[in-house]
This record gives sequence, C-alpha cells and structure tokens, in this order.
Amino acid sequence: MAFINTKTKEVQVKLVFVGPGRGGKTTNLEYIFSRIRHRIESDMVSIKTQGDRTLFFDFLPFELGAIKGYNVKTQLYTVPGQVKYNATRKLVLKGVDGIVFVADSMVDRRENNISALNNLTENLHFYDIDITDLPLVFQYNKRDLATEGIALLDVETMEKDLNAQLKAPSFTASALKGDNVIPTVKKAISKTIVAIREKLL
Amino acid sequence: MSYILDQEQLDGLEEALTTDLMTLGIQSVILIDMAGNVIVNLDDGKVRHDVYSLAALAAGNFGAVSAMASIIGEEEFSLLFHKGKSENINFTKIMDDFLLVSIFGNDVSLGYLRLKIDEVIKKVKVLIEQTRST
Amino acid sequence: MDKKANDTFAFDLENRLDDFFSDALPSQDEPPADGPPAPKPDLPLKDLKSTILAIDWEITDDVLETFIGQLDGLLEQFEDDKVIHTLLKLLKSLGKYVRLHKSNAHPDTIKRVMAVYSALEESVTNKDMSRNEKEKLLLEEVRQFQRLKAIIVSSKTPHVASGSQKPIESGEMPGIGAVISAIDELKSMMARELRAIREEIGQLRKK
Repeated sequence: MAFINTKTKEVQVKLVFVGPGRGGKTTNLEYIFSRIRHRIESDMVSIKTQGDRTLFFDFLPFELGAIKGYNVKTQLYTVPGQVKYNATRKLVLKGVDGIVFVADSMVDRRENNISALNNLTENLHFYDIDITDLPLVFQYNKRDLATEGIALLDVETMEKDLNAQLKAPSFTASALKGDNVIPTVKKAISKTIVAIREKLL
Repeated sequence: MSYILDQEQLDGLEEALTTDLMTLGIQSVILIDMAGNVIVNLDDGKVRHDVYSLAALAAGNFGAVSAMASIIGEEEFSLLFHKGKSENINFTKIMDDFLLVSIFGNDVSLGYLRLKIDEVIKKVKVLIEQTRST
Repeated sequence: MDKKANDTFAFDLENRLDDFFSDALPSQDEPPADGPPAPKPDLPLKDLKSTILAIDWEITDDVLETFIGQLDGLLEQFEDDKVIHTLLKLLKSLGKYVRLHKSNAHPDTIKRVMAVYSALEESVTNKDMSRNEKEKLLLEEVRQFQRLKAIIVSSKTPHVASGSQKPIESGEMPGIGAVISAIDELKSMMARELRAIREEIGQLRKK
C-alpha cells in the first residue's frame, strides 16, 4: 500500500514480481541487486528452501533519492510461484502497488503462465483490487533458451494468452543474462509511482 | 535435500507424537519439513484446519524469523511461540530440516510442553535418522 | 492532481531511474537512538515473579534452582505470616517435585505453581484483604495441592514405604495449625518417596 508522507515528502511503493514457479522472478531480483548493490545499503533478503525455491519471499528495498522534492522509496518483492504456496503468496501480495508478471517462455509452461495470472487475479480480488486497475508490466522471460534449441512460445502467443485484455507494457527478457531486466523494472516503478501520485496527491 | 520415510518410520513418528504430546490434551501437532510439506498431522478430532496452508505458512514464518535472527546477529532463536486468546502455536526446529508445530490451549503450560517436546524430539531424531543411515 | 505537474514528475522520475540503474556512487544517512528504561517499583515478590514468568516459558535446572533459592529467602522473610509462609512452602514442594521429575512431572503441576503464586501475590500485595480471606485462599490452595499429590501418589507403583498416610478429607478444613501439620506430613511422605527412588536408582546402577 503506497505511503506518501506529505510532511517529509516521501513516497514509498511496493512492487511484487509474480508468475509461475521457476519462471525467473527471483533471478530478476538477484540481477537487479547485483546491478545496484554498490549504491544501496540494504541487502537482499531471500526466504527460500534448501532447494532454492522461494518459500516466503525475496525482498529488495532501495531509495531512488529526491525527485521533484519527493524522496522515492521502492520495495521489490517476489512471491513463491509453486501452487502449494498460495496462502503465502496471498500474504506477500497484501498492500501491493504494482506488479511485474514474469512469464516463462518455454512451450510446456504455457498453461502455468495462464493459471498463475488467474491466480493473481483471484488473490488481488481477495484484497478488493481489480487487476485492470493495478499498474502492471509483463516480462516474457527465458528468451535466451532459443539459442539452446529449446522450444519457446512466440511473443504473439504469449501476448494473446496473457495481455489481450490488460494491454500492459511488455518486455522480452532473459533474467539469467540480464537482458531487459532493468528496463522491465524501470517501467514498472515508473508506472506505479506516477499512478500513485495521481491517485493520492 | 530429499528424504524418504517409510511406513514404519511414519507409524513410529505418529506413535511418539501421540503418546508424548497429544495425550497432554493439546489441539494438534504437525511435523513438517522446512519447505512446508506435511509429514505427520495429528489433531484432537475437534477442529478442522487447512493444514496444508498452515504448514506452508509455518515454514515461511519460521524462515522469515530465521532471517530476522541473522540480521540481528543471532544464529537462531530458541523460542518461536505465538500467544492467542484461547489457542497458541509453538514452533520447534528438529535438526535442520524439520519443524514441529504444536497448537495448544491455555490449560497447557508452555514451559511444560517444551519439556515434553524436548523429550519427544529425541525419539523423532532417531526415527528420521534411520533413513539417512541406509 | 495537476497533470502537467505529474508529467514533469514522471519525466524526472524516468531520468532518475536511468541514473540509478547505471553506474555511480551512493550517499549516507543515519537513524537516531532510543530512550532510558522505566524505573521498577520495589516489591517483595519482584524477583520471584520474574522466575515464575520464566518457568511459564521454559523449565530448566537453572531456573528451578533460582526458584527454590528465592523461596528459601522469602520463607525467612515471611516467617511470621503463617498464610504466606505456607503458600511459599507449597511452592517449594512443587518446585522440588518438578526439578526431580522434569518432563515426567504431572501435567497439572505447573498449573498449580501458577495458581499458588497468584494466591501468594494476592496475599502479599492486597492490603485490603482480611485475615479470614487470606486463610480461605490458602485452604483452597492446600486442597488443590493435596488433590494433585493424591493423583500423583496413586499413579506411582507402590515401592514406597506405606508409612503413616493420614488422608485429609476435602470439605471441612479444621484450622491453620492442622493444615500446616498436614503439609509437613506430606513433605515427609515426599521425602520418603525420594529416598526410595534414590535407592532404586542405586540398585539399577549396580546392575
């Protein structure tokens, strides 16, 4: 839930990376962290299983500094993607201001992408949030696997499956290689903060 | 980390937990692994919880609290306990991979329950370690 | 909200994001500290209370040793107050039992400890309580204590010397003097049991 302190002139927003299990949500955050760690104080927090599956969340907070007199603080979270962690996922989504949906481009993950999006819609509904009202950005991840001969869904198919109604900004990416990870998160932050300011100020 | 528990071990675990803990009149005892998977689920027959969500959340909760411990320079906390109006939850780590979740009312003293849990953990460890030696 | 203002904000935000995710160096600031702790009022049962609270959470040899040590001190302090003295003796008896039996202690034991402590605290701190009311409180606690004792004794295997077991009926309690001698009776019974248990352990060790 966005927090604007008009006295201290601070804006704080919560962005959550959502998507099917093993889709690359944590990898996104790890890449972002590697890029900005020299300029932030906090560490990235990861609560995961021994098998490196997200158990509760990954968390990365940072300050962007003053923009037009407002100190902008961002909190990035990922949720666990596995189906059995839905109760936990719901918890992490509480107070969300913006979403990055990390879809898995592998052909055999098509159904998982769609059910993850449906699950997100349901979980948001639990908090009386309509997904169409929430700032959202799509990332079609793992595009680098094409070079390894692995069958990928084409972008048109993924757009049709996931983005036909929402018409949100989307990026093809490779979180592992760092391709388009930063543009994705920049877009998401920007969209979210502008929307919050519009709503609250 | 993977582990396999055969029927004999599971039966042994159930028995130990029933005899040492359920007989105290507590509401339920759930043995889970740190990924939130349910291994043994015992209750007094009176309440129906969504034990799978409870287990996933318990594991996540324990994970979050362990992360907090690291941040403040502690290796771990020896007590993770939540007090409710009529029901309470206690978490006890067993070795590195398992968690015992006990749900009990105010008629059972936490201190005494922890004594009993310490005893039963010895039996649980022996039973689980039977896997590792094979 | 002024759209134009938001647009320029958005523009600046974009620029800031570009800078942030490129390579440059950070800056620092520090958060402040906290305040002093509140002073504690001076209460006779203050230390015992913290030990009782500790026992509620965790039962260890150390905490039980401390408990019994504190009770010994208070027994001296309240030598002249029969009600408080007896309640303290009940607590000591229960404490020693838990120290000996630990997880094999009867599940209701700690409940008794808490209840007796409550009665003790009431007697010590409530200045408006009459002598009569205090005695009533004590009698009830003694009754409960003896009930627990009876349950524990009856569930043990009879290797204990039968000795003089004077059962006290519940219902009518004669008076403080009789109660105190009943407590002493129970104490010597417990002592006999302890001796018997020690003998048995000695026997087992020889095997």
